[in-house]
Amino acid sequence: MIIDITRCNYAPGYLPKATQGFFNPFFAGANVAFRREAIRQTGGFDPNCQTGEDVDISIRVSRADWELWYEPEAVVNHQDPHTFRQLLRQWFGYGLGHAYVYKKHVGSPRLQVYWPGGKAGDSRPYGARCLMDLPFPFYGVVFLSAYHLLHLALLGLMIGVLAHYTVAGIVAGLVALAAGINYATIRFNRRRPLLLARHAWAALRGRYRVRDWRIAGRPTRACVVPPSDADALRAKRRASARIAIACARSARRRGQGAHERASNGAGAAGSSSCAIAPVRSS
Amino acid sequence: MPSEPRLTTSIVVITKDRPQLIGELFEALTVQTLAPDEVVVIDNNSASSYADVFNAYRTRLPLRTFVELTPGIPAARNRGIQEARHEIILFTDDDCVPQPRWLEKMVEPFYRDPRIGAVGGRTTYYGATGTLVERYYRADRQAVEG
Repeated sequence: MIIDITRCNYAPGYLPKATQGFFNPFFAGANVAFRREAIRQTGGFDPNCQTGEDVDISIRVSRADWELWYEPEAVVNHQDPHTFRQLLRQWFGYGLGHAYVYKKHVGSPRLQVYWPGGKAGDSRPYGARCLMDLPFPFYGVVFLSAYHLLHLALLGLMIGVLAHYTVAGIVAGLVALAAGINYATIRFNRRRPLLLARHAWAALRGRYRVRDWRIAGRPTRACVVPPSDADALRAKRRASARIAIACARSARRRGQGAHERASNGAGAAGSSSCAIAPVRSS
Repeated sequence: MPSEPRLTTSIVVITKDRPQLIGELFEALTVQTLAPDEVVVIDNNSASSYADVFNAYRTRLPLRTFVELTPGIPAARNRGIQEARHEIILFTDDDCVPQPRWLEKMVEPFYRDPRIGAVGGRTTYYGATGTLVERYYRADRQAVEG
């Protein structure tokens, strides 16, 4: 089961039904309306939730055969947290609170690892992919993304799970796993080795270049900003350098092959065989 | 819009120790294109006093205020449900500012289909102080929401 904290790809209109083992769309408590009858049937908010009571009630309303409708034209402006302390408390709290919601709604204990992404209006809900789904001694979800605040929530979730199950070893293992996968993600995405630092730096300068966001080399929806001239020039230089190297290599290989086949006479073919002339960058 | 009876609305706001923020929300509720039938405010046992801001808006909004002693968001929201008297119960928070057409747009889908049990709106984010944390937070959300 996934609680879609990122809410990245709700399409306007009816939302998919909450189903076990898959996505559970929800509405944040700051901007939601209920029909009185739906609230009455579900018995209101669960007092055991610390946070995530909005997630819980959305799931229960949806499972009680009511429809959920997303209306993007009904807009509420919400104040950003001002201080790091507030930010930490908020996201950490989400993670902590969600441990209980997972426990309550997931059918059997499982460990699931998800990778969110995809475009708006994707036929799969939110375009997220389940990377791993295993039976496990306790309920857990590892949600991977370039969305750093989510990692705070993840940390909170781990501790929340710990509080509910006291299986310290497993939790420690899971934290290590999450850290490992995150590290691997960053390594894999070689062009962006310091994702977090870049992210913070961009925010610091007040200039956020969404174009920089590539999840594992796959352009995200945000990659619509055309590259600037400087970037285009750099890309062109890089491309021509690559072609030049490739040509040089193939020339060498052909040269060697020719030497092996016939010791002399055929060498001339090697030097003129490159189809694309190397572009000189000035 | 339809011939059905009009759906009446209760807006439930829960708050704790933020009387300086809630005025902005009340102001936004007074300029809604569809006026709410009641605004239920649940004070979750705050230390600070809301008397001034409540008195300032009592004439401009159908305000009903209660104090819930049990701490926690679910308890406060449940109290709101208990006190709400209308067909559609809307929730928003004390640090939120709805846009003028918010209420109208939130109620519209309920007329469309009687099976709709819950409607959610879009939440946008704004920084009041322009701190680094605020900018980072917004950048992070934009990375996902586009």
